[in-house]
Amino acid sequence: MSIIETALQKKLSFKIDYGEELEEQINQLVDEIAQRPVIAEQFPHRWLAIKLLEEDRDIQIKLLALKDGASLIKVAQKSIELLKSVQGDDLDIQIADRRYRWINQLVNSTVQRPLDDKRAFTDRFDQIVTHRYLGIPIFFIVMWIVFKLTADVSAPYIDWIDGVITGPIGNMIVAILNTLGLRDSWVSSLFVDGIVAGVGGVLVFVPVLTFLYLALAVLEDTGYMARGAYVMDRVMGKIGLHGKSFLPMLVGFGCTVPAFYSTRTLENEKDRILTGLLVPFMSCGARLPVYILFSAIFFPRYAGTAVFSMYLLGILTAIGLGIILRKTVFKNKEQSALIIELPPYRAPNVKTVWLYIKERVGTFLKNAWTIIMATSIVLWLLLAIPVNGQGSFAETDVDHSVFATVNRVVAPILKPLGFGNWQASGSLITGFLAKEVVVSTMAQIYTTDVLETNAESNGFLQEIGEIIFTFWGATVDTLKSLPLIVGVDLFEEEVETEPTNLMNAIYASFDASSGGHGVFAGLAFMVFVLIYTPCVVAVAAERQELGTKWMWVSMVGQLVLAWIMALAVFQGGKLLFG
Amino acid sequence: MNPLLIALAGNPNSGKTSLFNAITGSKQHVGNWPGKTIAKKEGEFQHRGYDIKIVDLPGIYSMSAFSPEEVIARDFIVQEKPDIVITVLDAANLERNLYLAVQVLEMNVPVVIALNMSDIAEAKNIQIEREGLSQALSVPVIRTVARKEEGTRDLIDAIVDTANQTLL
Amino acid sequence: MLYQVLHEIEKADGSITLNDLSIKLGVDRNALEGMLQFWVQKGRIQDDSTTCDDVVCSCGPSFISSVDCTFIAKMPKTYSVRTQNEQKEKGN
Repeated sequence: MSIIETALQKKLSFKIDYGEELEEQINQLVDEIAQRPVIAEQFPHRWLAIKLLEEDRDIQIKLLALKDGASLIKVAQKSIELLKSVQGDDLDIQIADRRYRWINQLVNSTVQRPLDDKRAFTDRFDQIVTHRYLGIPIFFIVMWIVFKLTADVSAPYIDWIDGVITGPIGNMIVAILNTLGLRDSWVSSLFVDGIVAGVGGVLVFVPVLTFLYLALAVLEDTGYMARGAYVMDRVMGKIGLHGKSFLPMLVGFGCTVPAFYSTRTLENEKDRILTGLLVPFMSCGARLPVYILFSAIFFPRYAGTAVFSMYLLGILTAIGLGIILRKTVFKNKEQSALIIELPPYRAPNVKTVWLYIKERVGTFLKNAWTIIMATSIVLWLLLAIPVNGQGSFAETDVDHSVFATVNRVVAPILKPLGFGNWQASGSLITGFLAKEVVVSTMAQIYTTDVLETNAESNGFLQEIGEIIFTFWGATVDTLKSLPLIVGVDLFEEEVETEPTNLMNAIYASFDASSGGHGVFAGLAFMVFVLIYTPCVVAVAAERQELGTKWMWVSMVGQLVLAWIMALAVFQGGKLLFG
Repeated sequence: MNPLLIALAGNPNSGKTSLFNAITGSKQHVGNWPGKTIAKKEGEFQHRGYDIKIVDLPGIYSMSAFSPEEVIARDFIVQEKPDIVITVLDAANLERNLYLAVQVLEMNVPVVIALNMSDIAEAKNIQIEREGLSQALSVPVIRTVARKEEGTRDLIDAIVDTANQTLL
Repeated sequence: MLYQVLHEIEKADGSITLNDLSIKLGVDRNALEGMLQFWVQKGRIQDDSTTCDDVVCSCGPSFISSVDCTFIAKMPKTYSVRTQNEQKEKGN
């Protein structure tokens, strides 16, 4: 070998120091390789030695086809066993670890990288919003603002839709029915007391859902939700829930059904069942109309806060129950850690936000035309059929209907909770079909005359004009309220809106059933709706994911828990403030 | 004219394909790796008395045997024994990209490093001491921006220089 | 380096963000992902985005635009450390 060649050889032989023990075996193997000409000619020696120690399958197969290959593998195996007995782990990890360390040192000495601005902003912001102690309060404050904004901004639009349904649309339906000669007939009653009251009663909440999902989609798309998830995940971890439980929980705020399905991401059965049991306490979108309606009735000045506290109570219930179950039924050993990749913050994308709202509100509207429409018709029928010959079909007082009579049987159970009347028990029972149905049922029960059956339509064009005019009025109201929301007035009391007939009727009914403590009864009812069995579709999903046994445990448990918590709210409220 | 076989290695998204196109221009032909459905691109050109054939290896992160791409890349280097392996590194993600570079170097083949997408790294104010890197790895490190065809001439020169040193 | 990654995750006792990990170890985020990927190949860590189900539709960063998804939030990309038992079960 000439001097130049040696120098070149030296220059070419790049080496990472793998540490004394590994190097010793590498050198031994390099010698062994050099003794096997067929192999030595084909492979770079040191590289092959390293690959042998890494137990590289592909290399082993290639060597076996060569002369002296099998014996080389045997020799390597001895080195591997020796090193493994010392290091206690696969050698490819050792080797990769050394490589990474070497690279890290090289980069530290040759590369200077300042935090780029976007990252720097994200990092600094994250230090605050994911702070160990501040992160959780910040998350809740953000959520509270979301609900406050939703309630305030949507209020004028709720009134508008209500006005449109009971005004122009209702008038048109009545006018058509009258023209067909059906005035005051049972058909007229079906449309007016059944469909318009029921479906319309739910449709008025479309603005609330739209604004809520708008706010959530914006939070999601900017990247904040991921932080919220991370912050909440630490809470989950503290109570012994698996880190991945937070996904089903968050999904539960939208709809309980996909939340059950998403428990599948949890591999351990105990974790999965425990998470599945807690998921229904995350308040789904369908329960929102109930909170909005009842907050407007019983807490007109603090509606946003009242709605938010329901969500909060759901979370706290899940946490409390989680701790108890973890300590009793689902004792767990090792918890696996989670590494979360938080995306950088960015401006929300209009299209993404729009698609999200379209999807969620679309589902709600679809439900209104299917489930709610069907139940409204059935419910109308049950309310129209008289019992004991009191009145005739569709003419009877709802108090003497089949529906009232049947639900009167259940009502006494709810008496200690302050809403022991057939209207409340009936709404809760029909609410099993879908939680919005609680509202549509009440709308049907309490408002027997939403529309003036004698009203004449003012003419098609005039009605359209009125719809547009009132929509403009609602928008102006909303815009007027915006500067107040953004400013200090966020913390001021809300302006009371004029209560509707339905609201007055519910208030009177709850006040009567609770012996004058209507506010506590109303709150207890909201709590009951939050906690009790989710809708039938969710229960089906629960059965599919957790099995029949746990489905029953969950259903019975939720009913009992709802009863106890509503009892505590009503009796406690009476005792403390009554 | 001396023939020279060059292999082009690098992570996915390191701008390896852009660099390949910038170097070879329109003289490329695309086929498959033997027995695989993974595309194999080759190009030819002449420079300073060399007849250079360049082969684009699949984009990989490591030289282990976890994926068929990795096996193809290392088999090519071991079996075809290219005269030089150009290792393309994304300058903005140097630490991750070096993991492959180090493993190519361990195969004891002459290497020239293309520090690609250097404009992005510079825009992010990432300062890389090319000299120090070159010394630590004992190979030439060339600044390139393949998309703008910056530094490709320097890279080809470095290949020829390395070839002159090692082969003559 | 690889062991330090695992060690820091264990020390975090619960979950840790990739960013915190990157700062603590002084390793570039991108390089850190490479290291995590190594552990994934060794079966010590699981890349959760590869195990998700169609029904769950939590895969990928942009599922929010997928029509069938009724999620309120998309899951950030996560990796989970496999427990000893899980490693045995999977036979990795």
